[in-house]
Amino acid sequence: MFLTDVRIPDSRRLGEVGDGWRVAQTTLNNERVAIGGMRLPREGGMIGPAAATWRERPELRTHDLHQRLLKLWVEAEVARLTGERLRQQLVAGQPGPEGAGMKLAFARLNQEISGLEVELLGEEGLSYDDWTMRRPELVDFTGREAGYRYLRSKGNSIEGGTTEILLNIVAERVLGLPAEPRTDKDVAWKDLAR
Amino acid sequence: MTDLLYSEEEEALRSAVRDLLTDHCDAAGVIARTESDAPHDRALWKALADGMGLAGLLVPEAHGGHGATHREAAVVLEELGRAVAPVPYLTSAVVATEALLACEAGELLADLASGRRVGALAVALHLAPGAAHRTVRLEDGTLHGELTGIADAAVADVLLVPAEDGGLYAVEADAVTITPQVSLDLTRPLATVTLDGAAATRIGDAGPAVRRALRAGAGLLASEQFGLADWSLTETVRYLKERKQFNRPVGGFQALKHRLAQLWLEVVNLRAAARNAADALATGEDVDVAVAVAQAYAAPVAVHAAEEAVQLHGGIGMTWEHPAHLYLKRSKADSLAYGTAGAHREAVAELVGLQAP
Ligand SMILES: Cc1cc2nc3c(=O)[nH]c(=O)nc-3n(C[C@H](O)[C@H](O)[C@H](O)COP(=O)(O)OP(=O)(O)OC[C@H]3O[C@@H](n4cnc5c(N)ncnc54)[C@H](O)[C@@H]3O)c2cc1C
Repeated sequence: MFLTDVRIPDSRRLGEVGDGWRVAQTTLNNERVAIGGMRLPREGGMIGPAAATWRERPELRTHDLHQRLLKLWVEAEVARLTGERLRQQLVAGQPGPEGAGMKLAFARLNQEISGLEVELLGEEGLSYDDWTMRRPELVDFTGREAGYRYLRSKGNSIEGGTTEILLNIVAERVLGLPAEPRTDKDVAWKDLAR
Repeated sequence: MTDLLYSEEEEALRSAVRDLLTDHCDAAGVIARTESDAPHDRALWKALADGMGLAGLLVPEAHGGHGATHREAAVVLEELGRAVAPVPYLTSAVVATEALLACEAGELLADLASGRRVGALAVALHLAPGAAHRTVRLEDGTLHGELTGIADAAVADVLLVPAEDGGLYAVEADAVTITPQVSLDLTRPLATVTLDGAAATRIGDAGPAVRRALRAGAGLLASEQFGLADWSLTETVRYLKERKQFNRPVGGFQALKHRLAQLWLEVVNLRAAARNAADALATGEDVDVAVAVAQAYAAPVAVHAAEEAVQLHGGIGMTWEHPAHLYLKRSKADSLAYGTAGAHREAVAELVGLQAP
């Protein structure tokens, strides 16, 4: 993105002068809560189609896949409960730091569940529904097939803040561990290593 | 919808229990007790049960209890877990009490609720709700046989013993021989109970009573496991902020920050799962799934937290004087108690229709 000679009226300023980073952080954090904190019924997320395939296609079942599916089913259910607890805290006016963690859990679970689903499908897992390039649509996690879900969910640990950066944020903001050592503070952007 | 939060009253209960444990259950004392012949802390039990009336939380007021619910008992267990307190709360005030509730054994219930007597269900600690358990022989109205792996039997005044006729029998502890086993977890020691013509009173059917007792035990154990895990995480984070190596606080190294952040996420998830199980037990809705999910999730998290506590404390974490080993042993033993995570995952498979191949 390049901005050249753009004038923005002061009435469009968000927050106080010098407080822009906090405003940006608030927005980014809300995005994370929005990504990870959707209210879902049991089996409402990616575990839904995987569980449905398991139930409808007994011929695909193996012991290894069963163990892994059950573990992920439990983890998805627990992540759902954590999201529900977070919402109850918000309603009660006691927001907790759990929001930062929801997106981390959501990304890993989506990736592992969709990866398992591709394996569960056996021969069909080697096919893909459609490689036609289109303008970006709305993200559709459950409307398309497992292969799409697997590839798209790889972005879940990058978009909205990477998993590595979010772990830093949890460690520093929630657990109060020391900040990363930095050499970029008080250096003009044009002088930074790029 | 399930209430996953803590009420003001529950938070007040937590502070009261925590204050008591801060004053009367320090790690050095727990370690010293595990080296003695009396690993249980009877004075602490008296203060919790008799003084604060906590042994009767699950018992209706008509039977001398407090008529509270599993939600409050879960809060007590969180705090007892945080302190690895060597008291028979889970075994007597939850598991044995639930068996007596199923049998409507009024008089014994009142005894246990008052905390003046301790009860133990004579079913091996590692068994999941619904698993087959051992029974003893019934001959001329007396009981004969041997039962192993009975948690907290050493401090029990009355044992609830399943017999081969399908009955659950109340047996006075002085009518049997209780032999301590050398246990992995010295803060919840096991014992062998030998019955050689023990006088017994039939109080009800063992099947439903044992099942109900183990289900409540499994569900509320998740709250104890949350307490253990929360201590491990909190104490490790505290230590790593202070401990310096390479001229930096060790907690500033990203490899460790990320591990601790991952652990935090697991602990946060465990709290939601444990609260959900406690609330389900209290309301009676969706209990089987809530308990199985909580136990399938809780055990690996509590063990992971304790293992990280040992590793990230370095050499000091391997010493007898440092309490990390108490948490490691309790959480490892808890990972078998009332069924392993694997046993509970299999229960989930049945309950939600994800059948094995
Ligand atoms: C599907 C998708 C949708 C997106 N949508 C949007 C959008 O709508 N709007 C928008 O503005 N952006 C969007 N993005 C961009 C996204 O926010 C960035 O890609 C992301 O924040 C990572 O930044 P980067 O690409 O510069 O990676 P880099 O910062 O170059 O990171 C490279 C790698 O290094 C790791 N890393 C970086 N710094 C550290 C550190 N301090 N410690 C440890 N590891 C570190 C990262 O985790 C990553 O693995 C989207 C990305 C994807 C994949």
